[in-house]
Amino acid sequence: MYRFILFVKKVYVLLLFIILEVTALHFYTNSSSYTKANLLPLSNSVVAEFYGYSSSVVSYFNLKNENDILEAEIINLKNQLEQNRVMIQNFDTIDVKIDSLEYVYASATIVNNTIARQRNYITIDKGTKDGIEVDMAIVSIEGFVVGYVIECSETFALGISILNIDFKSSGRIGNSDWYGPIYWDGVSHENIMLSDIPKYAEINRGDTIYTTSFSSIYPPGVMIGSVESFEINESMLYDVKVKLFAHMSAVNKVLIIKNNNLVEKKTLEEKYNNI
Amino acid sequence: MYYALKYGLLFLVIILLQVLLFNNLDLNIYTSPFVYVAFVALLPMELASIYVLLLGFVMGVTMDVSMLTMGINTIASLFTAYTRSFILELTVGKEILNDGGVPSIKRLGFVKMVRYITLFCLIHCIIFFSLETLSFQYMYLTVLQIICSTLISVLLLFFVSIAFQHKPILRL
Repeated sequence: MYRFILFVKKVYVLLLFIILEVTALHFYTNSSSYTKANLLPLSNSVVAEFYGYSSSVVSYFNLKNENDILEAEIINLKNQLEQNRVMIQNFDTIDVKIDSLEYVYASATIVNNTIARQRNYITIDKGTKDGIEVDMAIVSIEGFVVGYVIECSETFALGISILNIDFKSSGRIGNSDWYGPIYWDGVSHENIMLSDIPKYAEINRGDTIYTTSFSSIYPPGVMIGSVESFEINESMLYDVKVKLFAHMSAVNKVLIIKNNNLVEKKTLEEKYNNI
Repeated sequence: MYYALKYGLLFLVIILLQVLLFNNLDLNIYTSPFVYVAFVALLPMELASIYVLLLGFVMGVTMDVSMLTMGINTIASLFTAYTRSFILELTVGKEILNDGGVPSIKRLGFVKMVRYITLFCLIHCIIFFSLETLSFQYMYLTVLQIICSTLISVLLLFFVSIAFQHKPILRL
């Protein structure tokens, strides 16, 4: 027994090192992008508060730029409003409630955003008290895909960035309606990949890639990027390199899009996924 | 007591630097500056290895929470904290290590200091980036990430060590 205590005394640093290291490794390898969110309430409340202060200072420097974008957006919306007024005049009464709309928009500001990691996340300054929920789409103010919400705290929400190797969505080629999965390969913050496009599909450089109508997060037709290059792989499918429209290192103001039919769609689909 | 205060201050300054400045730099995909490795690297050489290990663990967890990296920082900084005495023995020799003191240019000499922090940062970056990608598909990318990040971290660590060694005007 005495010898055993002596032995432990000799190697307890090594033992502690092994225990801590194995625990950390276990934690890392068992964390999917969703279990990661479990750590977030802690991280969110401390770090996001922190970032909130620093980004409120930084955002002053972008005010002029933001104004220009907003002005352009206002003109664009005014024009659409005018068009809608003409249409609405044909009906006697129209009672549109916000709940009856399929997609509802809200604005938010990014308080933290990384692009240099393999798994990048976005923190925005709106949380559950502003009605933000999991699986809401995050789109730049110009209307380009940026990410989606994976976890909310009271005042902040965390989104998975499109520049995250766990990000999964689908994309459609604008002119030819072929679609395939979209993912980030972790190489450049300006490009993502669109794969599984059949070899007889017609692709041209500069074609716009849109979100598909079977995404439960994004409304159909949200712009993602344009085709930069494409090559055929060994399974005779095209791998398309897509240049992102959103400047991921410069997004500041974003739109949050809520899909009101999401729950209904998910419950319907889950019925058959469980069989 | 004076040491504890000094290192407490270093801990805070390094966390603020890393979280507020370097995590937001996003230079490019290849260079991630890890200024926080300086904390473990600059601990006094005579400090018992159990404390070095625990402080490395605390630093790693703090960084994981702030970077949302789910344990990679902890794994890397635990490993460097545990192997620190071996790294020191290998790069600066047993005599200096036994004499103790804070690793600095003055204490170790320029060449040995550079050797020590380069190896320290290199080990940290190798563990960090190979765990982050976890695949051989983009080997060249990972290698480039390791090299670039090591270089920038060594440079930062150098500045931190110089600033840390600078005699304060008001002696406590």
